[in-house]
Amino acid sequence: MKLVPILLVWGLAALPLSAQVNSPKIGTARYADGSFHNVQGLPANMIVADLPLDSAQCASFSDSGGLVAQNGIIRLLSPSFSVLAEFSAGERPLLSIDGDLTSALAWLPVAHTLLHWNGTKFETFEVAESDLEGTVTDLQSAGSKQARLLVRHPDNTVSGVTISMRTGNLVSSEPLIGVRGYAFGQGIFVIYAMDKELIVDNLSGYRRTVAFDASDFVAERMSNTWLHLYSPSLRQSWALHLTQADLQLSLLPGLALASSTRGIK
Amino acid sequence: MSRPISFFWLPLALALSSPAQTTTTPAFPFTYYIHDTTGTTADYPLPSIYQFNATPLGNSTHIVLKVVNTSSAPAFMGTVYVAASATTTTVNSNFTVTGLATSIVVPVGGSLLFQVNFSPTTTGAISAYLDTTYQVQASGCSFTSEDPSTQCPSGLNVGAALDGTATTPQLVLSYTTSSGTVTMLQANTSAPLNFGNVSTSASTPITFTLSNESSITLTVPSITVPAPTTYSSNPFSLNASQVPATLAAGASATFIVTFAPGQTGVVSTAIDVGTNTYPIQGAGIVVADVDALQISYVDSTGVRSLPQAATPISFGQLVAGTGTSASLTFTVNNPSTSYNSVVVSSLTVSGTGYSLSGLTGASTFPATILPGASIVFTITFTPTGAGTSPGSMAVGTRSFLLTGTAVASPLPSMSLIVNPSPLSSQQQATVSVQLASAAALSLTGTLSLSFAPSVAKVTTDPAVGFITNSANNPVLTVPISVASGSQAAAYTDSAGTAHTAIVFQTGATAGTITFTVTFPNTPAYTQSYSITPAIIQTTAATAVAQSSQVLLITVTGYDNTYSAGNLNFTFYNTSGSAYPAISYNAASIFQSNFFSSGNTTGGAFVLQATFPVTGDITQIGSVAVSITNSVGQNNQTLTITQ
Repeated sequence: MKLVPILLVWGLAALPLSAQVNSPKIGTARYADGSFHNVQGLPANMIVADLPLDSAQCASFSDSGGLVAQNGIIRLLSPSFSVLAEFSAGERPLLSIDGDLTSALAWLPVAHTLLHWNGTKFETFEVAESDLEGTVTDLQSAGSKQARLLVRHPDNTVSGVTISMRTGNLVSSEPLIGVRGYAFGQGIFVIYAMDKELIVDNLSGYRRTVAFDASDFVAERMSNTWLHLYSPSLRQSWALHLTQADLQLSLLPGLALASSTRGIK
Repeated sequence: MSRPISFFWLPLALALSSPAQTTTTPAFPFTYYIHDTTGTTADYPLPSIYQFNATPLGNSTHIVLKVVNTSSAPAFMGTVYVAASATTTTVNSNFTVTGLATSIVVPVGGSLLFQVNFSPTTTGAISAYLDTTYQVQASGCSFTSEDPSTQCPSGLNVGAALDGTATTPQLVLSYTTSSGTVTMLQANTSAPLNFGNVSTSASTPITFTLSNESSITLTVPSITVPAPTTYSSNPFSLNASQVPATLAAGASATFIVTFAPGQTGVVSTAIDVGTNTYPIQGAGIVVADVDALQISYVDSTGVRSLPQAATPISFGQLVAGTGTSASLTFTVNNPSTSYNSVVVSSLTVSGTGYSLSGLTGASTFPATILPGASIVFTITFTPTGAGTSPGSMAVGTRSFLLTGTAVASPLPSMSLIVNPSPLSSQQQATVSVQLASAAALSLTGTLSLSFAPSVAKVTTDPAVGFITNSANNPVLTVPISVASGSQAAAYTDSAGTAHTAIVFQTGATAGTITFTVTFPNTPAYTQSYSITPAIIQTTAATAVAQSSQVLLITVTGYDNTYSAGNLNFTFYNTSGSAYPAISYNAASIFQSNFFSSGNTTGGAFVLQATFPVTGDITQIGSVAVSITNSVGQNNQTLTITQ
């Protein structure tokens, strides 16, 4: 990185400006074998580099840090991958971080407990089983005091469930009309696959689709705006760039494992 | 086959008058007999159904009939013909009646001879009836009366049914013995024609004659001499080059079958002429010492074969111009059961493309092979052009023919289709390998990609390559295959999914992508595609007030020329009034990134410009950003996110 001062004439003031140029970073991807990789480049133009991190069973990354879990231990990582905190969950969790470190959440399906990094420590909130009937497929922070979970019901319908991170109580639960099967949240969008299409739906009338062969994908966050999608049946990875203004799905080169040894589930 | 025999009466066309008092038709006065003109067999009554011998189309068979007036009055024989059915007088053209003097009076007990011929014009079963018209001079009528009232009534007798089967036309095969005797061969006989005992150093030809003995032109069926079932090579060779496709009636053609044993022992096979099989046989024997040598060869798969002198030793099919070759390793063994050493006068190989190497067991010729010893050598065929290459090998007086063929390519001509076209940077495009026609065989090959940047001092762009699920980064070669009958090659990924449209990345550097398709024994096919230099392309841009005193402008995109330089920022207040533009030549910081040793993303970049601000930052509404490279200028206006 090279910093160059530039004079900025701004009204009556003359102030320096600095500029820098780097290779664009997409995010951190956990591959099917549990290994981590740094993904750089642009949509449809990606380069993957190995990261010297211990493999993990699940992970989530934002621009501000990451959560990884292996053998029941959840670790909060800085942007440089140093361990900031640990929590012994004793089970395989579902992880999410989509902004600063206080957006770090984990769902412990056996303990039926929500885990939140409040900036200084992990705090837990037990959720009544009656409030969540189904499988949690994703979770995101909804402000500092609530978490929003996507719950897949046995009949394949999906609900958005909001849980208080003060009490662990159910705040609201609403069926997501039209959403079926595995669903994943990204900001205001819900992502799911149906009929050879990947559907991005903001549940308010905005819906975009892209061609997508896999019906069995799973997703993990690579950064604030990038998701890593993986299909165990096709053994194929994709990188999805999703913002309010952009939706781009690219093939992500990746060494896929046999389905019997795949890591993402 | 049985059928009813019916008799009926028709008004006779003969201009004969009948006496008024004799209106009833008389009984049929004649009896038919089958007559043997050689006298060997006594006449016997024509049965109610007579079956002719099966008769080849164009040939004819016949019977001789004797008709006897067995009534008690003279009988007038009008006509005799063969009708198409029992209820018509229409003549069946497959039969003719010859040798009969008609319109004559046959006295009581008198007889006539005539012939009925079966000369079919179409193959298959044919049925007909022997019809006879007649009168009987009885009850006061007279054959010669001109008075209608005394004329004899006429009758029509529908007699025996005549059945015949017309077979396909027949050709006759014969050969001429050394004494000049022509001997006709009997198909499907158990007695084979014997070529006799022939030295393994010699050969015996026999010329056969195929004759069309029918009266029409016939198509000559296929003539083959299959290899004996116990031999991989045929000691009999066939030269039917002089046999035409058709033979006119009465014409003939000759072909030659040569028995040239390369091994000792009795062998049997046959000459097949269409569906007719003519057994033949011969025996390879030892006359001179060299005849006792056992000559064999091993191909690349390890299969050992015993060559016969009559059949060329095949080196298979290769592809011309690819430098490929085929080798066979020969062993010439003097059996340990031999009493004598064998002197081989010479070992020679001739023919274009054939070469001899790897000789062991002998260093010079003449060479002596002791009982139980062998000499081993290799003959290699390297085609010099497409087509069949004849050659020969001689071990002393033991000669064997060699043959090898070369074709231009086992695959039809290839082409590539890229989509989209033309290519540009930052794409995941597809390339398809198409064949001009369906492949005649299945092949596995490779599709390779190389990239030549057009940017000075840049040698590669790691993002350029095929996207697979078997490597963590773009790769430059993928295996492809073509299935027999297919017109496209496919890449099969690690999940077993076949892709005819193979995905590749174009990177972020201007240059030329070259694809090379390689299949075994096929000239490589290469095609190149340019990625032209372009103005800077942005994929994302933001302008954010990071604090009350700092504005951060972030632009993400690529410069495939690596020449980005001037930056220009023009800020506007919320009312739309512009502040003085700020320009800066950022070439050095761009190039520091593009040309750093650790750069793996080609011309991709993220530019972050930070502007310290004094005053009320919320008054800044937007900023126009322009970035210039060697091709042109990228412009965009960003709204400030407070």
